[in-house]
Amino acid sequence: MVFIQVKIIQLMCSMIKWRNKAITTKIYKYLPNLSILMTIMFFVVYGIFFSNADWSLFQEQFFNFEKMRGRYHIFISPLILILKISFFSCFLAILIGLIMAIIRSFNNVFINGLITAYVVLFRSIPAMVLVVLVYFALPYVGLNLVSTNSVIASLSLLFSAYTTEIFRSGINSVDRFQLEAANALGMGSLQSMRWVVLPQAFRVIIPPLTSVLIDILKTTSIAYVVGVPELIARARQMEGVIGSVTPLIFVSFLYFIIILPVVLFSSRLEKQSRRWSKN
Amino acid sequence: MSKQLHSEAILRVIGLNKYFGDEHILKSISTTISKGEVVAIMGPSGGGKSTFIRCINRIEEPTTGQIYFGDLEVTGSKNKICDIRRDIGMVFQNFALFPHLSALENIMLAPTKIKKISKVKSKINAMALLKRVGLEEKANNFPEQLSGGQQQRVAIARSLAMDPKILLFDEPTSALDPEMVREVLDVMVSLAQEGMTMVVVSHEINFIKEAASRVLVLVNGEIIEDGPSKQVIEKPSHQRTKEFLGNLL
Amino acid sequence: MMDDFGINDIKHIFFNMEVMDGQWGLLFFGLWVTIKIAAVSIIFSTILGLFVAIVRIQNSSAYNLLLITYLEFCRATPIVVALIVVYFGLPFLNITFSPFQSAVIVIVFVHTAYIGEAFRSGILAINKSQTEAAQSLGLNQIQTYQYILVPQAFRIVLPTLANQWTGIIKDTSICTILAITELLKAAQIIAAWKANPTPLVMSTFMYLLILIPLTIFTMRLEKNVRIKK
Ligand SMILES: Nc1ncnc2c1ncn2[C@@H]1O[C@H](COP(=O)(O)OP(=O)(O)OP(=O)(O)O)[C@@H](O)[C@H]1O
Ligand SMILES: [Mg+2]
Repeated sequence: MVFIQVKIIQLMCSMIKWRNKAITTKIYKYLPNLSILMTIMFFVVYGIFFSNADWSLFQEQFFNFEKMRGRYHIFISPLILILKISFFSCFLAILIGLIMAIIRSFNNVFINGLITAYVVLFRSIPAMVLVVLVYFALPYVGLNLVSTNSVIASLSLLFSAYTTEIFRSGINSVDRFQLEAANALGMGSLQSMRWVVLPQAFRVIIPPLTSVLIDILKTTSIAYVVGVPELIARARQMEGVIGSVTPLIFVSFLYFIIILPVVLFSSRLEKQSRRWSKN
Repeated sequence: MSKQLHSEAILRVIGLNKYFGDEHILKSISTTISKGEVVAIMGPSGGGKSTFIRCINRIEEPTTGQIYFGDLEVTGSKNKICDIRRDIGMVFQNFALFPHLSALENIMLAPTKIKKISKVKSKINAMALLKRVGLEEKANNFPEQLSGGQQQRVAIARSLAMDPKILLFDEPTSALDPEMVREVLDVMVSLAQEGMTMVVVSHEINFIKEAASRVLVLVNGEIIEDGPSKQVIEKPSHQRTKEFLGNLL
Repeated sequence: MMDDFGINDIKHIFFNMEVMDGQWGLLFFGLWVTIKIAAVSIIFSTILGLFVAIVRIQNSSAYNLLLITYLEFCRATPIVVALIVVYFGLPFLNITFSPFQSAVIVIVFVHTAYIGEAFRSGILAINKSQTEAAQSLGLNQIQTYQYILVPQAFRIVLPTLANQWTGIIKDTSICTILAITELLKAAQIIAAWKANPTPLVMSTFMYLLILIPLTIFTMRLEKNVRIKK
């Protein structure tokens, strides 16, 4: 579609025999943009006025905010719950990852083997599987976790595998001499880790940590399976009550609102760190 | 002398201009290259030599001006450019071999994929080319397993595989260790002796004396000197050329 | 309470093979469905991702805007939500997909964005002179991509690609919320029916059997890349 338009305009240009290269290149540069805009407008106009799609049905089912009126407060507590789960999972994942990475930097072959096995295991296991396993299987040994806690436990385990690697590569990125210099100043290895290595490792660590945060925020949505009264569960209940998918759309919008800033922040950071690494 | 022998023009450049943004890099360059000529292009760094040679097969887009290859216009419609490029070989400073293909596959790629020559036939042809550049036993080596000089010879063989009517070289030996320069130049000299039309950006004075029939000196985007190689090197008419050659020797 | 449990109890609860008697069929059927979803999704998202990357590289700002919006949208939308909207929401508009179709559509949609981004950075990492050499031989744009750029890009992005493929296989387990008997769902059905978690443990082992080699492979590749740098 777009290509056809581009070809047509190109043909027109060559028919007029535009000799002024500057103008022609400028036209070529904006041509695809123009035609994509035209195409989108075409589809919008066609969809709204000329096709026989039932747009009132679409609006009624997907964007029926009339029926949602007065029900928005229902989403407040699940929203807080989601944020709480994310916060604790993130905190624990970072804590575990940090500890593991520090232990690993002592280079004990046996312990490092164990940590690698841990990382491989939790990088391999699907989040959904772990959540279901923790929630449905552990009660059989008398370990009854509240559904929310089982989700937090699963997420921390899963993402600590990633944070371990992130912290490790951060620590590795710091020059060996730095550590030796710190030792020469009489710092113990934990002290030099705290005061010399980690601050420098920070800028290598932060961008991938934000993408872990994004993943955690997204993964909280699977808490739905184990009966956590979170956003999706509430939305599906309401969907039954008001007979419209609008609550679900609203929830995906909520997720979008929560995650998008982090996404944009992380893309920004990635660009920045790429610039750093180039220098 | 060669001019009289081969008067048939193979490449005509008419009023070629090239801008990068506001920078005027090539200033209205016009020249004609005849069949069988070996033209060396010299000049100080940043003078536009690479830009000029890359405009010839339109890897770099000329801003204005015309370039004719035979009676085909290189600067014409973009649709035919691929066909024209098949007859214009190019050898790069950094070799630009395809790292995922062996030496043999590098050479066979274009004939089999573009000219649709059968694998068997193009393999025979490729082996003959490898033999010609003295590398038949390296046929199955990948580029990273070859030295710089060997890579460059494979690159020459690769461009020869399409039976080009003209070969363009952009500083083919300047990325090489000194002991490898000779092996590449030997191949180029033998090509020149076989009558291949070549345009060579190079500062290898010995090669130019030995093989080039004509020298262009490109300074600040202008051809300030154009003549038989002996004359330009021994009795340059332009002060700038003298300085430049003085630095070189 | 935990202290009351001996090895035998654990074996009886989590590795109770009697529970699995006659149930392996269902579990393996689930595994087959999971593999089907994963395979189809991997194939489609890889091909489409490559296509997205090539369009992105043409540097037309309108396409780029569109595709970046798409990418950010995918990064900010949980798959669970997308699945529910497609599977439970669209029927309200009389558009109905089977669970299998919904699963593939959602997974492909989301992962194409990531894979496209990976391919884009892979192709951009290739030296410009490769394109020029290909052009000077007379290869047209499609041939250049086909024979020169894409094969090289594959090598460069293989670690990222393997990681994404692992992600796709993992995400198939999310489809357990749909009415489709994939591996996790099968295990849950048997576990509920037998009131014993052994099937869940078995299904976990099956996932790990597929995913651990892939993860190790990915980590090896990542390490190689790091060393090369
Ligand atoms: N892609 C580009 N964008 C902007 N400027 C460029 C580009 N390529 C080349 N130039 C500029 O054009 C001028 C001529 O460059 P060119 O590479 O043709 O010189 P050269 O004679 O080949 O020099 P050298 O001997 O160093 O190879 C230089 O000033 C360079 O900075
Ligand atoms: Mg140059």
